[in-house]
Amino acid sequence: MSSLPPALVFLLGAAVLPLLPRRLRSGAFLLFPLLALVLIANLDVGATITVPVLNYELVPLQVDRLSLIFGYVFAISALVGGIYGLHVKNTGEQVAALLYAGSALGVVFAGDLLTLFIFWEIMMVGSSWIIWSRHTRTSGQAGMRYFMVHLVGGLLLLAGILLHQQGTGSLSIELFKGGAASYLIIAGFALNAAVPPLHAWLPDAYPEASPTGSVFLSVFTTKVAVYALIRCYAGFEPLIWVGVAMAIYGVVFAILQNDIRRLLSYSIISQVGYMVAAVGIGTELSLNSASAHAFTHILYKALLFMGAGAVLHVTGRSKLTELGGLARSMPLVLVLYGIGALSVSGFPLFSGFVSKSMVVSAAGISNMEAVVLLLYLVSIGTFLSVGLKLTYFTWFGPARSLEPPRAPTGMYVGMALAAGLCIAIGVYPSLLYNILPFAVDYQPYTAANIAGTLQILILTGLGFWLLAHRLGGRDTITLDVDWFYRRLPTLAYGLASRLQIVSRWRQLWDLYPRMPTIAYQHLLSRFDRPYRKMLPHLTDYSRDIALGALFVAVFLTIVVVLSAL
Amino acid sequence: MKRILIAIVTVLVLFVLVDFLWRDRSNHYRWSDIPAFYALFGVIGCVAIVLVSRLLAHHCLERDAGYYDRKSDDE
Amino acid sequence: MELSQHAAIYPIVTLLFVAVLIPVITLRKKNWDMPLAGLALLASLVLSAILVPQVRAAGYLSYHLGSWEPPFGIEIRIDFLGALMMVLISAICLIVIVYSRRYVAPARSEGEKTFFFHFEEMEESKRPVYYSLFLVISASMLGFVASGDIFNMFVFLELKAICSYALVAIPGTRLPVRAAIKYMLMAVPAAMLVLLAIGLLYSVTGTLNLADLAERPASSDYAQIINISYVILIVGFAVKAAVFPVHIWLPDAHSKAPSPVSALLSALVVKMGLFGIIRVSYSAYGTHFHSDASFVVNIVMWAAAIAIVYGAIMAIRQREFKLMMAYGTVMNIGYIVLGFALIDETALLGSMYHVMVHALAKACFFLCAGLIISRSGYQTIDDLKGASRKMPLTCAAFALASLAIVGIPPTSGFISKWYLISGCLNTGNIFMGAIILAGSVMAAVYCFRVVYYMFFLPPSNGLWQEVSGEGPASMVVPTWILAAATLALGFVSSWVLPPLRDAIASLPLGA
Repeated sequence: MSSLPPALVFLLGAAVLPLLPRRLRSGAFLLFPLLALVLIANLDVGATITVPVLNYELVPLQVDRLSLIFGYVFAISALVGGIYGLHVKNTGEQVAALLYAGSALGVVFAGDLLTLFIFWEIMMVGSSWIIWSRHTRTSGQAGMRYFMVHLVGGLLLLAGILLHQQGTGSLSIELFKGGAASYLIIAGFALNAAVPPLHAWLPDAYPEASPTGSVFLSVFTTKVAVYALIRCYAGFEPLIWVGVAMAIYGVVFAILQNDIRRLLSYSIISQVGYMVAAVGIGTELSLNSASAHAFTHILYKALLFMGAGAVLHVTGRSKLTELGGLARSMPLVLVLYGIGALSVSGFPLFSGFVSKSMVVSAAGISNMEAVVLLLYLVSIGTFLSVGLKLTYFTWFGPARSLEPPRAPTGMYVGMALAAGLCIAIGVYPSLLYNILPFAVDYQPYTAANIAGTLQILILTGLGFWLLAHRLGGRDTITLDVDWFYRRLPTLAYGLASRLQIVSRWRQLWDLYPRMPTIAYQHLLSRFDRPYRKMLPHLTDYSRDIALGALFVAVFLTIVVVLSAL
Repeated sequence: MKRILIAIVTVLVLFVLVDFLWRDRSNHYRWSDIPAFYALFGVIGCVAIVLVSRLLAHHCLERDAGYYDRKSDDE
Repeated sequence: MELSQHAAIYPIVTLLFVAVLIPVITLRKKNWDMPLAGLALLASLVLSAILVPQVRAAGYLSYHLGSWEPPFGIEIRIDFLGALMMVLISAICLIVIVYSRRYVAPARSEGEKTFFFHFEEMEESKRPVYYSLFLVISASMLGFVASGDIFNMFVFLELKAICSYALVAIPGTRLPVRAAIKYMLMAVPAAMLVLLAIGLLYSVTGTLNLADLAERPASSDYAQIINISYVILIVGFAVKAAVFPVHIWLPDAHSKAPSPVSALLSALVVKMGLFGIIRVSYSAYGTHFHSDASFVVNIVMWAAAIAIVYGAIMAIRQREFKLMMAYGTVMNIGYIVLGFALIDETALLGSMYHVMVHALAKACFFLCAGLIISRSGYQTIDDLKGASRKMPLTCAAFALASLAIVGIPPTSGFISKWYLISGCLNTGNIFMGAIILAGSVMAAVYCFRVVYYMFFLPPSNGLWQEVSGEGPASMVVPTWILAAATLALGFVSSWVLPPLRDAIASLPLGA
């Protein structure tokens, strides 16, 4: 009992949930994360299950401290998301969420590449389904783009895994060292981690999901990829700079967004950049910090998405230009969102501080001063966008005379739970440090660290006060890499049709399959008149058949004559 | 408003002092000896990020909200 | 003892016998046609299933018709591959015939909208013919995979082909008849090519028995004739199998035929041509095949690669969903042929597995199409928007089968994709592996566009309002059995694959 793949609980749940009475489904949803949490808590490090499938030894369960910490946070966030979504009456979305969370756990506990890939793909199906479950035109299109991009990513991964297996004969998860297979696999991972330029699916799709859906989305895909990177590419040095670039890219775009959930989506990219950079550094401290940051980031980013989702749920709006002055009508949501915002910005006593400063110190101890400075710069941008811009223009700023109804209680409970965890980790970092993969000898609360961080944050606040007018009030979007598959094809097609390339190709394209018919009709017109005289009593079709028979007879004669020669 | 500002500046000065007095011995960076480095970094960083991102947006990234919904190819 | 000696031939004979019986009996008992046909197929399913363990134990079953010893008499020779195909064929035929009952029946009441065969009810008189043809075509496919003799293969192939022309044309309206004629125009010359090749082969080896051919290579004086006959044979079978560029009959025939017939054609009938290619390449031409035929096989490989890309692009471009599915078949044939043309054990395993996967999934697709057409009369993909509101079960079955076609784990399609790509890498054909990967992206485009329309878009103006709901259980359940089977085949792969691998290993694969 104690060693059972936790993914199984969720997948079973996905199968059982639609069979339950409709009004019990939202409540029953919570059972599965709870059960999984109990299961994970009882897993022993080193527990393994092997199943021989497909002439391979599949390992659906392999437990170590790294998989455990991701397992805990995934199960907790599924629970929090479930509570937040208690009011939801959308069975499709709930089943998709269970599939999604379950397969994420499946990846984390997978002991071989094939199992990992299988769950990876189920995750793709589950997450696309969540996006589609909002049932709007934009969510449909965004979901389709998301699905296609991830399908390509999955195939890169598959190609890499197969090449690796070809070369080494093994499917075990290990640290990869160069070679085509390794690069294909890391491309697959990087796409899921939303590493630019493979990131555009994230800010494209996450804001289009339902409020509950985007909470689930914010948790799993990218962090599963971070897990996979820690497993397979720890210490792969290019990742340091990739991660830093990613963090900067994310904040620069986050600052420019008008849609609250798109802003948070770019912030995910930026925060995952910290983790990727930490993976690249590759020391025990940095790997610890990557895991820790994933843990805290999942909780506070889910909290932020829950806050933004609550605003969307009650007002029906998600653009900063259409929001404002909600502090009076939604004070509690403001407070809870604020806790998330302080966490993501890395204020002392909140969870982001204990993990983010760990990442920065890991870079510092490895003598990468440029990385340290750039990550400080990113934390300025983070506070500016998530902490100040979003908060100010949603809850303060110009009031839009919105009279929103009260959000469902479940939403508040879910947010409170996540907020509580953020504060608990911030106040007692050892809660988190004790479950990290390696032993921790790190103290975030030093006088210098606190003082330095607060200096930066306070001056960022002052800067915002001066520059706020430059940041809000634009109902615009920003172009990103998705332009290449959303806009470029249309432009190219327009150009091609203007030059009549399309129609020419289409003529050729369509001619070929019609050739036998054309030839036949040619014959028909030639033979039809004598035929009509010969067989006047036959209908059109019978004549067709007779003509066909004649054609065949002629062909056969030719063949017989040829073979006789 | 003014009172809040004064309070914030006071706290800030306090942190600069703390930073100056209790140096971090484990992590010594090249900039550790510059007084109030983080405060300066905060100001410059904040302004730089806002200006750079606005500049980028203004010159190439920004489009109106219905950009992708338009069928025609006129920019 | 006496009876079990004939076990190999029972599944085939039962079907042929009942096929003859049906028109006679229905003179008196009008409604006995489908139950009789169904029972016959059930019997042949059971009888074929019994063969599987026997074949597994003995390696192969050999039966001599009329007790004439091969190579002089006709030999029925069932190896594991053949037995598995027999089970697959009789199972899918059974499912499709159960589905057919309500599809070809007249509307029960005024309120029940039935669009049969593109909106016309089937004439009462055609029904026994339909069931008879159905049984004969099933029997001929069973006979084809069980033949141990190349001429016998030809006979069954032609029997199958004639039945399929008739089944495509059975509605008697303009489009199906046109399609049937186009099919015939291409397939009959192809059959003649096959016959010609067999004649050439016989003239230099003096035998038609496959096992005998493999053991008794012609003297090298005739190498050129052997090669020519191989090329001719491959071309002939390729037309039957609708391999690019001779696939052009397929989209019309498969989309204009009644949906159960389309299911049968796409799932099984085209596979016979493929089976023929594999059989003759490894059995009849075994020794020559590896020395001289690599040029031909290379061409076939490229044709397959083009088929994948071309089929996918054409499927994406279609507006009618049955045409889309038909082009999907062209594409999947490409996968299967590619697996063969790589001449690699792993790739062939993937290819044979994909025969099963595609048979189940594509049959499911066409049965879904039939359900939608018979309930609503809609035929274009745009009409499918919002279909899941009225027909959720049908749409869910389609979605499940789509997952298998795209090859998403843990469905069965993933397993064939895995082995096919492994095979590509084994033989160093990285480009072909990339084609397979690209193919599955394109398959996702055309399959999931439909799924997305069905589930996540509202119906366009006023469509689906008059549709009363899901089809009758006798149509939905067979569809769902197929859909579930595509998923289940992924989970039971560890039981199916090892014997399949042994069966393939027993083929004389390369040096």
